Amino acid sequence: MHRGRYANFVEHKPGDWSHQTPISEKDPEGFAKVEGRFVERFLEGIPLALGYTEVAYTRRKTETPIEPSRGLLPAFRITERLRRAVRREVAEPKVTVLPNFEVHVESLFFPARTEAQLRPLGELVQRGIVTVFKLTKPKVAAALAAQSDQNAIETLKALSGRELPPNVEHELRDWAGHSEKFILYEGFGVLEGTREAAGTSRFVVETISPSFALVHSAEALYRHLEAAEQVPLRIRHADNALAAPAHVRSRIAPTAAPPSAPVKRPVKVKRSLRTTLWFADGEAHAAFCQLLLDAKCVLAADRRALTVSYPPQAEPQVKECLRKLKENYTLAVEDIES
Amino acid sequence: MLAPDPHNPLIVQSDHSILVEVDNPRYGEARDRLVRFAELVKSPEHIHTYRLTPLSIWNACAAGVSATAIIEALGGLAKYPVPEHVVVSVRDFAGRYGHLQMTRDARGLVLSANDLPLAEEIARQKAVAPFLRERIEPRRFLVDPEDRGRLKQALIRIGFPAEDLAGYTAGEDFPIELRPLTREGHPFALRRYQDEAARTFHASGTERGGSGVIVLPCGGGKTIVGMGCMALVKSSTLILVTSVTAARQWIEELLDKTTIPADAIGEYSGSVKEVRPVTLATYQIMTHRSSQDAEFTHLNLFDQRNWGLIIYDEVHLLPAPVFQITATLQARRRLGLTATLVREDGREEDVFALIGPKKVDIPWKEMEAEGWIAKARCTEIRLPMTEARRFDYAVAPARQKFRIASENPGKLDVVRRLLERHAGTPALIIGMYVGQIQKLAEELNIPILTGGTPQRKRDEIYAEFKAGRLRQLVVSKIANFSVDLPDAAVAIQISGTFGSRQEEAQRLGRVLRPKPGENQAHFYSLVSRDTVEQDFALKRQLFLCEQGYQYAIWNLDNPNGTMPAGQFVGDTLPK
Repeated sequence: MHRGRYANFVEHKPGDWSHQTPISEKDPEGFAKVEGRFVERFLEGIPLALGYTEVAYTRRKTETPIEPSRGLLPAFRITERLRRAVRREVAEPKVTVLPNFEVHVESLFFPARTEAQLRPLGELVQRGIVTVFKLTKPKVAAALAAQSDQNAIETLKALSGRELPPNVEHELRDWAGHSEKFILYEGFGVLEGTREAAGTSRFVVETISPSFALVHSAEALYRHLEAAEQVPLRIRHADNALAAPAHVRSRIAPTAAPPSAPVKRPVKVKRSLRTTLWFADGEAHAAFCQLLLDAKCVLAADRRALTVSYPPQAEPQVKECLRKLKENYTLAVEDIES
Repeated sequence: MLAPDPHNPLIVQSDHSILVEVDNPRYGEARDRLVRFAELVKSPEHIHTYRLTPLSIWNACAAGVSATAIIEALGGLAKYPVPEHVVVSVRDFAGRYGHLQMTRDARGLVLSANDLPLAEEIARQKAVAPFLRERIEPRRFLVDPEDRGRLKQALIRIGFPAEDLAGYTAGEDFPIELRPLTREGHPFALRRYQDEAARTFHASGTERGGSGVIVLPCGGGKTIVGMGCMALVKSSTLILVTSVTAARQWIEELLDKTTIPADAIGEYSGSVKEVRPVTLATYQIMTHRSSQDAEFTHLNLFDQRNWGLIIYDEVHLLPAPVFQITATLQARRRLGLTATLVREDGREEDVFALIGPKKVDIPWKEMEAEGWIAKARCTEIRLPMTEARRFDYAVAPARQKFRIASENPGKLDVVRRLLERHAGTPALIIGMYVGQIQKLAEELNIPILTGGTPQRKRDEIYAEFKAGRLRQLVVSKIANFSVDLPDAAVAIQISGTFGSRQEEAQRLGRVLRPKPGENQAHFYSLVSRDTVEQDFALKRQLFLCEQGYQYAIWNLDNPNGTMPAGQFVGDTLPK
């Protein structure tokens, strides 16, 4: 049993897990083998992901490849971001709203909070030290529909710390006007007529007019009205008559999954086309076959049926051989119905 | 590289974009340095965005800017460290320029690679090999002069642009001088930046100049720069323009400001076919053919004279067949003029390979600040539709909605009031639908120009407008390109497609020429509120804001209602 400080560490050749070499504490390179690997793995982990370091890899192959790899990351350097983080110079993101509806967020550090505020209002266009969002009408309208107290103009003013470009403010106000909120009631009914029967009010969800009301539990209401001898008339509408209008940008009601198209089983049919020449003369057939062989063109020839069959790609060679055959025979090629 | 300084104006992002803070004291320095090696993508208030691309780096290299200079400029102006891979990319892109050179010696046209592996690589590239006639030395290939352009195109596509130092044919001598006094007797001289642009292009006649693109904002005097180049080259010149109107305006300018006699200038268009020492041809006639499979019969104009200079006006609109023929004309000096290198078809690389690298690019805002072009105010006026029209709009198929909104009759009253507000100021009313602008022209008793107006009538109206006898003009889309209306200070757009960045730039360009007095231009767009027209107008708003123009929005409750005070100080309209 291997013991010591590095007891848990082994090396092996790539792919060869059955022959693992333990690293001894007494190995002069033991420190480099274990701690060195730790440093390499560390540098290409969190500091790199946070943008605190940049690492340089070497292409140099070790003489005997060994795993886990070692010595392939010979250099690294710290970035401006780390320097500022160490000095605690983490500035607030600088937000600028441009007249072309772009919002630039300048920050050396990932501007998580600012981004969370801007994402509902625009599309992310570019990421880097400056993250760029583009304000769009559908996003702004949808954000306002989902959260009526959302005020895009105030949010942007607060983030940027200054007035917005006039055209942007104008458009945002306009877009806000387009974000009327519609509530889609599903499974509800409309009660038409004077509500003379007692007890109908408990079914009413929303009074539309004195003679119109939105009601829940339409079945129960119908039974209630029949029992009250009101002779109710029930009209059922097909679901598709109540479909949401086209181009609805957002909705609060859950959306049913669209019916999936029946799955068709794929069947592959292969097809090949071949041309067959039927010879009436055995000698000409043999001469033709010889010409084909001379031209190093191997085709299916049937000496009994006096035929030669070939695929379309052999057409030029066949034509050439037929041309040569014409030097000795009077040849007429006639197409026949298959 | 210099250490980053948090007070610097520039942030280099990992995706090769560069953000510049406009309010920073070092902004001016940053802009002047960036324009040499980065493409300006957008310039809204507060922060401008540039981008480093292989083409922008190669353009810089062609102008003599080294990778070290680029990296030092970035490091010296950066707020945060420049990402290491961006530095590597700049070195890589710049390192590719100049590794291949095209020269001419006793053996003919020769492509040389600066090392053997590169020579091997290009020899094995399928796209390049067909244009290499013979390997005369391990690092040198003989090239057919006819393939000079196509080879450059192929090399740029594989990422190794060739530096073309093979020189030019002299062309037929033709003396051209600029007049110190115009024909009308006004003093005339090139402005400083125009003179510099022409000299940069010419490069004292060496092979390092003679082909390239000059980017100037609308109103910056591209025609004048073109004439400056002609005066330096002093050779027969073929000028390709976008329309007959543009050709005739070039002719007028040439006669007014150069010593070229009238009988030495020819027009080559659908109606006239004159080939003279200075010839103006339209792209339309150059790409004319009797049927879709027929040949382009007029392309032989390129061979009808020994042209010493070919000028491509509005080079961003160069049609594909002219690109093809240009590939075979690499021995002639070529000048591209444009306000924007952005091509809707994305063929900027072909412009670089076949016309030449960008030689000069002066930002719009810089010229505005110096007073060479007018300051522009853009205002979008939103007005409602009548209830009846709103019903028509609501029930119309999607494809008709835009037109119903665009043709809102309420716009007529707003136009009338805007014209009253700017009474005495030259104004253009631009619309897309002929029926709409005809009705408006009748109601307001203003002359109208459409595609159906005969050329003679057009020329008459333009002349009246330029002379100041006519102060208001209604125009259809025909006025989008190359119409030189020097005194227009107000443009009112009543309908448009709003889809094309070029179209917006060109329309705004109609009013950007310098104005006497406060040098202020006004660009109004009228849109129907809460309609698809408003959605389309948002694209224009983005474009103009990204160009750095102030943009205000006014909402009208009804076409005759009080115009609200705008965001611009003092902007209130009469009731």
